[in-house]
Amino acid sequence: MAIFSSLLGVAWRSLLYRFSGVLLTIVSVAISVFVLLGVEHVRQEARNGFASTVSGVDLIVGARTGEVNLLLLSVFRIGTATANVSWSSLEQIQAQKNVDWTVPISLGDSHRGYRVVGTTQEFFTRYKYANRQALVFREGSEFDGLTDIVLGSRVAAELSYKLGDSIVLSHGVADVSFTHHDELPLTVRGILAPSGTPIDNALFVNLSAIDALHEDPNAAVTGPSRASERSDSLTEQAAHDDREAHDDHEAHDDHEAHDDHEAHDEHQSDSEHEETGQAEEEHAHDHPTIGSVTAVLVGLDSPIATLQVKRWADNYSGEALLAILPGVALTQLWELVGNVEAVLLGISILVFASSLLGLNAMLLASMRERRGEIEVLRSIGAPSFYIVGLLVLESLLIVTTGILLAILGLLFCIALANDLLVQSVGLMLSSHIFSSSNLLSLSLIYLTTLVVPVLPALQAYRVSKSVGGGSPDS
Amino acid sequence: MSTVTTINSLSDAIDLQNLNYTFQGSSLPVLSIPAWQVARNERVFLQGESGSGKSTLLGLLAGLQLPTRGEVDILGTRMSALGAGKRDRFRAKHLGVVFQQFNLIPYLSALENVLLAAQFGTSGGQAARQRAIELLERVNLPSSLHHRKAAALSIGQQQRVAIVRALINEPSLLLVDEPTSALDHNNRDAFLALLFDVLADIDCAMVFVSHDPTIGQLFDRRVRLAELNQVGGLG
Repeated sequence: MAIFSSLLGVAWRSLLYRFSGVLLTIVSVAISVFVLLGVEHVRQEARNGFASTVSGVDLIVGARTGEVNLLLLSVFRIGTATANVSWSSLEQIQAQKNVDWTVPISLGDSHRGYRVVGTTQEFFTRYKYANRQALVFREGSEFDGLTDIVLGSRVAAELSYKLGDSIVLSHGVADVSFTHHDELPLTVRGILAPSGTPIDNALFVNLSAIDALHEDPNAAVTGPSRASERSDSLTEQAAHDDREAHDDHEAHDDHEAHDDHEAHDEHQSDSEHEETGQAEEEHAHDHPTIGSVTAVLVGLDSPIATLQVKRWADNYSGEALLAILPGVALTQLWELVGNVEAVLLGISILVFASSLLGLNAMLLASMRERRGEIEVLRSIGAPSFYIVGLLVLESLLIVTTGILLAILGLLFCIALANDLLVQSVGLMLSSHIFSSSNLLSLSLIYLTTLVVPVLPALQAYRVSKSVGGGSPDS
Repeated sequence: MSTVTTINSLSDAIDLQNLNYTFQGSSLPVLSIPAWQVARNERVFLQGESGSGKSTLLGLLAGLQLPTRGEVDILGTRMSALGAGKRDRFRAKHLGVVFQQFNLIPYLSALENVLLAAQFGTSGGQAARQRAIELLERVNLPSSLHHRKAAALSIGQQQRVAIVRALINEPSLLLVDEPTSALDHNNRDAFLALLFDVLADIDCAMVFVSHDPTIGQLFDRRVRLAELNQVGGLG
């Protein structure tokens, strides 16, 4: 015990004595470890972030296309639908045994480059990401009426929208669109907290509103109201549209009626544009025809039934449907874009190798300048374990300090960079940097630190056979 | 730290028999000494030029290495009978070593250097500390310098700390290698005077190696390594 505390004291003083050199070594270890842990963490997080884009959804059903296509369309909102899912199919899906809930999503318009998604209120409670994490409202709440709109965090930040702001939707996916729904301003009702998923880049409106924007009010009403027979939330919102509900919600319905009126007006102006063939085509492609949706998110009451329901949907006779398991499709998609991961993995390995080599070179170089000290220690009868222990302890102190600095630096940088990353690439880094591969790297570094100084230290112990002078014989 | 070979107080401090040392991979020996003894409490001046094999001899006497052939008995203990670890302990406990320069760990204070040696030897704790401070003052190192880093001391001061360090465990044999080679003339004389003064009331044999024959007059016995060593001129 006394020997060990003496060893620690001597090692500590030795490091302080060589402060500037030690500091440089610590910094270089810290930088290597920082890059090593950082690159590996980003690699893991990119993969995890990707895989956790959607969770809690058992199946996604859309018109028959490629699995990856449907995923891109329904989750990442990339591309356009070639066909849609009709209301009657939606009802059939909802009617299936084991189907717990369905959330239709209708992809259509864009607003200044961000896609607008028509869906139901249930979307906000059913859609999960990461480890079954629910969407959180940073401000406000889910949409209620037809003129409410909910913004993804990035949309709100980039376009500087606040609660209560008025937004006029344009028609079509392009940033600049010449068919504006000038007549129907929507009010920002809620802004979502950042999730690091494509949710951040979307605007959400009531599914009925999308229909109301584009078709004559009668069609807009008939679509959702049919679906409402099965879905509670649809029933609720359909009630707003349903003319027969006027008596029950007089004040509110006055407002709704007004909305419908506006929608109607808007549509009239819209159809004027559609008289040109180009506008007609754009319209047809960018949102589902009325009475249909782009895709349906499906939740089951038992995961065992997943394949059964998938098979049913794939073989559904009424319409050419395709059901995908989000997790499986995400993996497929990741394999397509997974080269990035391979590159990052390659970088991690190189960084790891170079940091180990650098560390070893540093330890071996310092061993040469310690020869004199080792001779002094030998002449006063220091045992070999003391000499080896001193050098190993010093290396451990250097490496541990470097690693601690790297970890603190990394956590600090993650905290600092997260806002920026979510905004720019939609990637949210967790602070869980101790993945199994990172722990493995760190233990390998420690193992090297333990092993590398032993050989030269033992050699120095054996070589110092004469008393002083630093040369074997004179 | 307890099991250290007991010292036969009747035996010589140094007893070499048919000593032969050849560097590994070399066919010519560096040292070949048929027989040589140093009695207890005897102070011997060993005159040797650079390259005469004196550092090798000191390494053998200190138990830092073993002879190729023959035996080295120090204080009645046969070095070849001890393993490396036991020789380390033997050296820590019974031998004191002072060499040319760089005797001290530069980042430890004068006192810490002495106490580190005490820790490897028998002594330790408060008694050793007390003794270290007394000895440091004995070699004219004022207490203001006791806590100064060795690297910040002058070479003369460092060599004086080295004497204290060598004596802290009350060794029976002191090996001194050219301790004055880095000192100027005045400092050299002062150092030697101090060394003999400190040793005056200590029972301790000493082998003092130097190329400078003028120092030899201070000693009981003067030996030329060239006469001892049958290899002569080689090495």
